[in-house]
Amino acid sequence: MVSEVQVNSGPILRVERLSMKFGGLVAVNSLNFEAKRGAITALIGPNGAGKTTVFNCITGFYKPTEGMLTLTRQGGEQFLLERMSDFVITKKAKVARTFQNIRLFSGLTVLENLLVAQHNALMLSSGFTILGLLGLPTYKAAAAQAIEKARFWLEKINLVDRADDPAGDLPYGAQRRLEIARAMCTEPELLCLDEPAAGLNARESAELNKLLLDIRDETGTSILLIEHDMSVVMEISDHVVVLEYGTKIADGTPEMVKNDPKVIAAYLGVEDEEMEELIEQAEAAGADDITAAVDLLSTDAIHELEETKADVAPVELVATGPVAPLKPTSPSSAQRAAKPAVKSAAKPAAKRPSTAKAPAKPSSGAAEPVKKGATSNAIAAPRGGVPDRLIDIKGIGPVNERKLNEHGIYHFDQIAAWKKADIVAAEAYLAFDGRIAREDWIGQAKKLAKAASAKPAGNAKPAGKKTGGAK
Amino acid sequence: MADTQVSGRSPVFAKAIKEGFVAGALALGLFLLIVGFRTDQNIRNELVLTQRWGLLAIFVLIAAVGRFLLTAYITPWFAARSRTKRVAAVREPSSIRKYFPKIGLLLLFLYPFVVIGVLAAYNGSWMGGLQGSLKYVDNFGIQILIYVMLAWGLNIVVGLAGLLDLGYVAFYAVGAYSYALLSAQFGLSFWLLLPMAGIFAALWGIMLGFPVLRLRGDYLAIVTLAFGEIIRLVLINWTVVTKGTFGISGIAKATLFGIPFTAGDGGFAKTFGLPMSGVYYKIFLYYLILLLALLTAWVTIRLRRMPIGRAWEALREDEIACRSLGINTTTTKLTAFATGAMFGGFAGSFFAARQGFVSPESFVFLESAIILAIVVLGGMGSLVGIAVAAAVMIGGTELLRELEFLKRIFGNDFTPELYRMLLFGLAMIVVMVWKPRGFVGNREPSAFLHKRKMVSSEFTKEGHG
Amino acid sequence: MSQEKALLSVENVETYYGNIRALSGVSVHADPGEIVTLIGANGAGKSTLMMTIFGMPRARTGRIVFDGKDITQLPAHEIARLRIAQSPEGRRIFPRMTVQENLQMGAGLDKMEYYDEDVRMVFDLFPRLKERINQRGGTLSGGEQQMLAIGRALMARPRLLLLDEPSLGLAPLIIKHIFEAIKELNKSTGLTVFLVEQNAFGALKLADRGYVMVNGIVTMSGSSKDLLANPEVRAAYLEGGRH
Repeated sequence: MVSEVQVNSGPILRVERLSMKFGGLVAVNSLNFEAKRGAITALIGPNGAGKTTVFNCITGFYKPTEGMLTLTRQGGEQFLLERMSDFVITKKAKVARTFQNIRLFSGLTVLENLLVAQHNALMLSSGFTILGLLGLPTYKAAAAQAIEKARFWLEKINLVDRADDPAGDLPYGAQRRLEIARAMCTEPELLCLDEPAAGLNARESAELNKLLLDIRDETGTSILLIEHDMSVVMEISDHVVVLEYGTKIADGTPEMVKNDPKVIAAYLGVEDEEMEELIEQAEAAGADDITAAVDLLSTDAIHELEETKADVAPVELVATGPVAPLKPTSPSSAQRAAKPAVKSAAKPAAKRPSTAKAPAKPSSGAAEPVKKGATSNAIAAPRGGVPDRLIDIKGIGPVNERKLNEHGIYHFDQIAAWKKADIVAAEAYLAFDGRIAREDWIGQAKKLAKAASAKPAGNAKPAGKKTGGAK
Repeated sequence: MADTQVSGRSPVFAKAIKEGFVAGALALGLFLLIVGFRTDQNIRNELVLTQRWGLLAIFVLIAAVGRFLLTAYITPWFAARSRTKRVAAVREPSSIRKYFPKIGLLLLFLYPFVVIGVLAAYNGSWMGGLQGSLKYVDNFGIQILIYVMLAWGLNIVVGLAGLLDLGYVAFYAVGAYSYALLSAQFGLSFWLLLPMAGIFAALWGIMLGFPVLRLRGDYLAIVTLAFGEIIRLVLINWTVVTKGTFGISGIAKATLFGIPFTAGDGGFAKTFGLPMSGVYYKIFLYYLILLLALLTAWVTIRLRRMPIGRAWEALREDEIACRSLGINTTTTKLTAFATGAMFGGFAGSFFAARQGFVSPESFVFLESAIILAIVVLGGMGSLVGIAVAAAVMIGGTELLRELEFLKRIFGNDFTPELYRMLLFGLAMIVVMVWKPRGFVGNREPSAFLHKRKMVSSEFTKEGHG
Repeated sequence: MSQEKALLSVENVETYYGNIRALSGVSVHADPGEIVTLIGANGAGKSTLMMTIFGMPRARTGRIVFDGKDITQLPAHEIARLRIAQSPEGRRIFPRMTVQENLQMGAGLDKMEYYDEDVRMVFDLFPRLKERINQRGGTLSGGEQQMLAIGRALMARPRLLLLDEPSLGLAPLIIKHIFEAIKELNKSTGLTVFLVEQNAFGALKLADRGYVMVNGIVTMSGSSKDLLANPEVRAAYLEGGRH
């Protein structure tokens, strides 16, 4: 099983200007990245960022709209994957994959699943069935060998005891492992795993990590991995590529990516341990509102915005993002990294309307709250006790609405009356800049205020049952 | 538990009464015109309307009472029974079930002689036994075995590869006409034409397969159905070659390695010094089709342990996963189609040799439907189940010809044969309700590491085309 | 145990798949306005319990009571009419229907008056779904389908929400988002939630109480705080991947 000395040290897979469009929908937009040979490359990003689409292009299930996918095998042989059909890619280019929603042959036994994976090798040794049908010993030997190989992988994934049970009868975690073993039975040089840890618990993920590291180290197989479980991604991958809306927003070592503010804003949020810290802080401070610790909706709104901008110049948009200046000195804490970001971003915001997204914002409950009523026209309580539905303004979600309320903004007319300074102040506590102007909150608010005043007062719908409804 | 049962009794009862009434009302509406009135001719050839209120009342009562009994007693009884039954531990398969294939095979080989022996003892003479056995060997033995072979052939396509083929009879027709035409035109022998018929049918399978195998599920089924009809219509309309609906008659009979089954010198009876009888040919045909069917079974069993057979089953389970493992699903499907078609062709040429006459009427869609029904009833993929289903279905309908005594009950107008398809349909419904995955739903794995365990039908898939 | 006032109580339930016993004598309950979580290894029977509550498969012995009504023998659609909603394992959205149609299916026919409001809530929760409103369910990415399954369950205005691994296949940020939203709904509307999760840490943080299931048996139960502090639970379900 141990591979020979690596002849070829170039990247196993090079993805260049890969684009995939479905009708009007751009799933992947001019993506470039490389997967190093003998390394584990992780592909992460928000849901719907196009990760699985990239996989489907690499494994031939989709024909990319544009772009070049070059796979270089150990021996130096090159394949242009975008020109090959799916099964040929597995057969000739030696790329194997697993699926997000497990695709085992559930009515075949565990062992049979692994034998089907060795189809091409066995077809040859059975003389395309004819010799095998006559009962020639070469096929018998090959079949025995195939079973031995299956046994090897069953031992590796700890399923020897269940070899003769139907694959559909295995628990979820075991099915995931079996799917990986099945892919490995095709003797791939590049193994593509689509969310292998989904649905696994902490212990099973740890086992998965070990299995994948084993595969990399013992067989020299390069691994490309889509995963949301950061305990897997950060621990085993050598290289991480982050996608958002079909474009690459970051690319580097796990450590680099983990602390990239763009990645934190778009995808990670605040780290779990820090989440715990925050919860404890919040609890200590007596605030029951843990959820305000992370502003989630703001980042989602940024996505929305980026999509509209993406058509114009997606690459530049990303490139001009202030990655470097925000790099924290103590890398483990995104929370600390975020603080200076908020401060620095607040002032030049209006001048720089690109993606200076300050990711996480300080917990409004406990840590360092921005002064209440930072905007000029803040009021202490909603007029008549009934606040307007601020979420009617596109770009304001429940969490932001709550935050605005906390800062004394309850009505459309208040937002409509904002001046430049107010916008800067509001953006500081909402922790994103440039957005209010871009989404024309003020214009929207003016319209809504007019509509509200046209109706008899008090007829305005109460915020009622809303996720982030005013309290 | 206990008190829910007790308290559960009276609602069940009330529900049963309600459902009984509904069923009665439905039956009344349904049968009022069909059963309640009857148009007849009187002596002067006039159309008269007879009213049959009594019969209608019986129908309605049967429906109402039947529904009431079903809801009030039978369903709860079954539920209670299955509850106690399921708790029981997994049983080892009984020894009868274990040895069933072997015992069955032995019986099949002995069948003609057993029939002759029994009938000889009954009639008190060998000759009487021989002549009497003709019907049992031909109508039951050969007829059933032809369907067993056809169903086993179709099983490769439907049961293993999961491709729904509604036009299987086309390959049967190709085989039959290949033999009929080539033997009439060139005088080639049965033994040469048998493999050729298989190869022709396989080629047709590939020709059909190429354009349509990208289709899946219902779409594939419809195209194969159309293909079957096309072949039949070609046979009807290409009169120059096929003689159209008249069919081809006088097709040469098969020979036992050159020894013909004729009355004269050099014939089978003379050669072996046996008394004259037509039954030898039938017995010969019986063993011939038995061996052909067993060849089908043997190839199926062998292929299932080969990579191609496993690929077929994998294809039935999940086509996309197959492709991700580097399996060329197009060629895999084509081989399944061609292999199945080939056995259809063998059976077709046997059919032509047996009948001595072929016409397009033998290859209607109903035949495809019956073969498919046998595969589904038997349990897709299971050879034993399919054989049993063929015996029950074909044997059962043949048996209906024997039920002359029913005339004594229902009067002389009653012809049991006319009820064949009705009973066929009823039997299918009963079997499907009782065993939704066919007689043998479990799947035998093709390889094992420690112990061969049957795969329960709840895990296997039927395929989507 | 306060079984008297429980909204859902599962009493001594046993469920079989064929001859295999998947649940043996399971008793759990959820009080009104509670978030209860069920944690355990893969194959322990958590999803089976979820499905058994919905009558698929039916419990062979024991009783399932919802709001004082015995639902053990009810067919699934009648259970759903009692406003129990489920986001099942494996998503199971309607792949050929658009996002909007999927949500409409969740709302059912008799609750159209709240439709606009509820749809707005779902879109606030998952802005991605709003962007994809006219796309077919089957063309969504895996995570988006998960969002849709949860959204569809919420559209039923449930009194009891059964969530089977809502975090499966979702980005970390969205998972937090969903957990917050569950908490929020629970607080604002008193929604009772029964949650099955692999992410035991997140689930216990969110829930008021938890049960631990091993091989079809509930082996432990208690307040989330106690379970989080319990060394056995920590060793079995919380640690391993984390350092």
